[in-house]
Amino acid sequence: MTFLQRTPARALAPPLLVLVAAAPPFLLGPYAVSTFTQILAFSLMVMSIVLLMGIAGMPTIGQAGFFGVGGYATGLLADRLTTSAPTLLVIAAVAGGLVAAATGWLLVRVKGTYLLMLTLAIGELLALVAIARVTLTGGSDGLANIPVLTLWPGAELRHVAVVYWYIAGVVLLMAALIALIIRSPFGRALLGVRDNEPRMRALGYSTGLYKYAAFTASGAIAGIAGSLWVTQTLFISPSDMSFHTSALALLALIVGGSQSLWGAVAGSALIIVVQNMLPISMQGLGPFVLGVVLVVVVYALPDGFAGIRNPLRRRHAT
Amino acid sequence: MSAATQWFDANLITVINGLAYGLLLYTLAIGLSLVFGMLNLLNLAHGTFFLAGAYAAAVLVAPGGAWLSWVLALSVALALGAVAGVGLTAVTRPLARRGHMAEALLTLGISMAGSSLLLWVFGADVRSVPAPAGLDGGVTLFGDPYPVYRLVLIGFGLVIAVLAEVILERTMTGAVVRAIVADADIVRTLGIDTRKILYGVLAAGSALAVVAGVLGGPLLGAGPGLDGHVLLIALVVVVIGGMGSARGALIGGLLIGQVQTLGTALAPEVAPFLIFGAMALILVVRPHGLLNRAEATA
Repeated sequence: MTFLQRTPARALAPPLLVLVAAAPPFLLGPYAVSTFTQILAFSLMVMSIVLLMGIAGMPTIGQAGFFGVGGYATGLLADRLTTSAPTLLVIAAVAGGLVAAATGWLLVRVKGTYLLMLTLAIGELLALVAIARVTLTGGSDGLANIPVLTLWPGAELRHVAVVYWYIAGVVLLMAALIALIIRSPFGRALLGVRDNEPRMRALGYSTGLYKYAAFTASGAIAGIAGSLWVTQTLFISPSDMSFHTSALALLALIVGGSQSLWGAVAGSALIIVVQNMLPISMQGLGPFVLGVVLVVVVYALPDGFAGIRNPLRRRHAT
Repeated sequence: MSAATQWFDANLITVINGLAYGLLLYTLAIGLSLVFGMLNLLNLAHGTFFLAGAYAAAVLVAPGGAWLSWVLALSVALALGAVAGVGLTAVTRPLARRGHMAEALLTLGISMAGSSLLLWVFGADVRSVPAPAGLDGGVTLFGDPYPVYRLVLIGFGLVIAVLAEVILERTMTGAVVRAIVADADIVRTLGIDTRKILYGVLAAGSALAVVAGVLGGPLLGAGPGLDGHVLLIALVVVVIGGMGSARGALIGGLLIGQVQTLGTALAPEVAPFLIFGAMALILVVRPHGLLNRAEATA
């Protein structure tokens, strides 16, 4: 396959992707479409972990905290400020990024499983804030009665298909942005930090600053994911930002492969479908199934499903 | 009478409560800390072990808290924990070459599956555990009535602490354990078989987690969500004390015990944040905990 032959196919990929992404409301019933919507919103949180863990090499199990920050910011301000979804999206991104920036400085000096532990603590702390500020957040019961958001004045995000297109559009744009970040010099430097931090420091990179920036960016992206989630569900509660949710997001990442944005969507699909589709008799056993899946994947598929598709696909900084 | 003594008089009972709670946390956290320090294995199923112990107590302890049923619950807990610990070594060993992240993820899978099973078997209701017969009353302590069982907890925790101190500081095995925490490769190079010791520590640490669940039963009950809560607090204790340090786990446990009970008594609004505040503060000053000489590595 020569370079010339490959170019047309490459150029065709984005429009095809948009077509495929836009198709579900035309083909499926409302329940399936809303399931797809949830999968996409959740997958954006998983993509934020791809950036952090797959690229920067910083494992996290607290990402749901930032997801919740974005979700609560959206839910609380929809009542008080504006119902404009894009505006709330930007606010959620800023909120997620700020909270990540406020907590991330603790993390840049530690590595590996120790880091995993600290992110867990930070995520739970954020969930505690939501539980404790009852008058503002509704405490453990969560934030209900969030008004329907609008795309612009008068265009309500009420219809299942409209909500889907809006969320799919944002997730596609964000995925493209994350892919760009990964390919940028910044992303390359993060790969270098992941693979050999002392070497990068010797080359003159301020590795701590790079990791801090990656953590902040990933918090902002998770905040956007939370905003999208609330746009669809019109509800958020502390359990959405708990250890359990972070664990599910991490599971989605591991199942999909830690460096694959496609894998993030596939892994999220598995989780949302298992959560939503188990027969009533097995309702409580969702986490059991997912736990077993995680054990099997850890044993059998070192790179998740992305590793099956193309075992030779390994991204390394060159 | 100075202001300090006055304050102390008013809050003495709370301080003693915190001591009992802190020693319970220590019993829970020491295994987590040693296992992490020796193997770099972050056991996210540690809280599930604790909850299994609490449920074992809820099921096995007779309504009156008969001594025999307590002995039974504790024996079952010890056996369960030891088996779980050895099982954990067995399932993580094939992953050793793949790194510690894979091991941590495996324990995450185990904890998800485990808590889901516990919920399925025992239902969503919180169950209570009666204190041992004759220890469910109160004694007069500094002019106030005080539950005897908490004093028993303090006694038990102190016994564990003394035992751990003696074993780790005064025996050859303990020296090897501390050496493994410092540098496992060097210990292996010296020709010492580290595997037996690792199995032993994992079994003992996991057993202590399950036993802590039994002992904590009368205080905390047994219900869904307790596993995650307890795991988190144990992690904070371990981070504060320093990974792989038994004394660190003791100091961390006592500190968090006080912070939580005094915080709940004096400033219920901010109590939940205090333990994380304490952790953040200590990490700023000592990134690897109070008593950790080793570097935290990936």
